[in-house]
Amino acid sequence: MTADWTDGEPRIVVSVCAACGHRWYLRRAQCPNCGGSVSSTTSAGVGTVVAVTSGERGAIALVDLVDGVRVLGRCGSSLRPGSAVRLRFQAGADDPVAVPFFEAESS
Amino acid sequence: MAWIRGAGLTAFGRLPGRDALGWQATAATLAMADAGTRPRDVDGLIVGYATTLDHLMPANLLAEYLGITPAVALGAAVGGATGVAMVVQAVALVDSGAASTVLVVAGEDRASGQSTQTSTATLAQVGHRRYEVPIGATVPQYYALLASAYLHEHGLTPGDGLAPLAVAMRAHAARHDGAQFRTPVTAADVRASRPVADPLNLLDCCPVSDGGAAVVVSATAGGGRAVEIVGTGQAHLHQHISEADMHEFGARVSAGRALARAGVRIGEVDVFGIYDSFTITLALLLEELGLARPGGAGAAASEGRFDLDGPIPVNPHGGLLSYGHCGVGGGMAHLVEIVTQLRGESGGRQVARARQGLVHADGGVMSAHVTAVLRAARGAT
Ligand SMILES: [Zn+2]
Repeated sequence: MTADWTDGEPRIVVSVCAACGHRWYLRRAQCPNCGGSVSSTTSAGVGTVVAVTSGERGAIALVDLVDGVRVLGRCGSSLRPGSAVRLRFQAGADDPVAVPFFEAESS
Repeated sequence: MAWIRGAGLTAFGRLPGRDALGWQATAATLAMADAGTRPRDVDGLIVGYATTLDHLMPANLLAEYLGITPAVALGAAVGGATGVAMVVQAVALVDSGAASTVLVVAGEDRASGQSTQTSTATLAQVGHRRYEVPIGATVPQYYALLASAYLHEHGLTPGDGLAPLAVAMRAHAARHDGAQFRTPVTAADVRASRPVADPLNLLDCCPVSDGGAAVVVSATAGGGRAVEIVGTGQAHLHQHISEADMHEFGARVSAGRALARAGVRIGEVDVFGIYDSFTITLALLLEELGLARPGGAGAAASEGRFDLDGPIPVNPHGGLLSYGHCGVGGGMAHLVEIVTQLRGESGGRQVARARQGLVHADGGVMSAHVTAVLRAARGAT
């Protein structure tokens, strides 16, 4: 199991099934599609916004990464569905670890 | 074959004075009185979780309180779908012969038994503990994300795509004196209400309420007021939003199973009880159930299609959005309303010639789906 941002390492790890090629984000000990063994890859952190909201606890986005997984993260308030985004990590005052934060791809 | 012999629904609102067990006992007593069932006749008891109670054994707790010694007792937790899911299990107990009279109960002092902050934090735990909860999202924000994707896909604004559903539910609640909110609102009122989680405003969100609901499920009809449960279905395709298929949450699959078992086409259903924790919840469910075209639920509400005299009457009691939401009991209120409609006992909010009904509930973030198809006994040959 490769350490990721939830362990304090600022990266998103994508799990890949060695047997069937299924890719997922939420950590599991085996493939939910076939039970196969897990290998992992580090996301390049590039993707497209699927949905965005802003509430009392700040703006958050659901992002489809080009690595083939959907990820929840915080974001800037200017993003819209369809926006191209890039991943960085940011820790607020109450956060024990830096969490995914998506900002507009400057390109 | 199983029948709903009795149903009980309390008023919902901010109504201090009872704790969760008190609301459950009140609703259970109403349902047993309605069914003509005594506590000693109950041989199956299923009770939904209450966040303010946070007890490991809710059915045992209520059984002791009411003096019931059931042959089967079970606590249940599938989020907002729990109420209908408990009734599905009651049907299975009755059909298997494990019990003959099953009391299904939900109730909670969700509004007055805890602070809003505690309630919000508890409910947010439906997010993934490791990958979503640390982001800080709340349940309204999860549904707001679904609304964001939905409005973007269909090129809609919140005012035309979502607000009309809140308006329709409020118009219904105005006819029910147990509803938490009964003053009519307009789409402009919905858009002018306080922003909660963009694009959802306060009136796009159900309130938090105190209240309870219960039904008695029996192997025999025992009279013309009974309502038959003719088909049930479920679908559980994901838990977390990041693994949800936004075009197949599970409602279509669940309702398809229930309708097939009932031998009923959805066009033959006269009245609907559809889970409506947020306007977006109702829009997504109506569309996945095939009761509105994709992107068309708001427009259909504006046209009056979900009104009492429309072709698809939905939530004549006002739904979670306006009758209120006390947790598991909120999702059961739709069921009690459909039972009341099929009995022809809904008074000023009665849907004409209501003979078959469908109840659909979801739990989590459109995660757990449960459907029941009901049929009136009255007039049956
Ligand atoms: Zn696999």
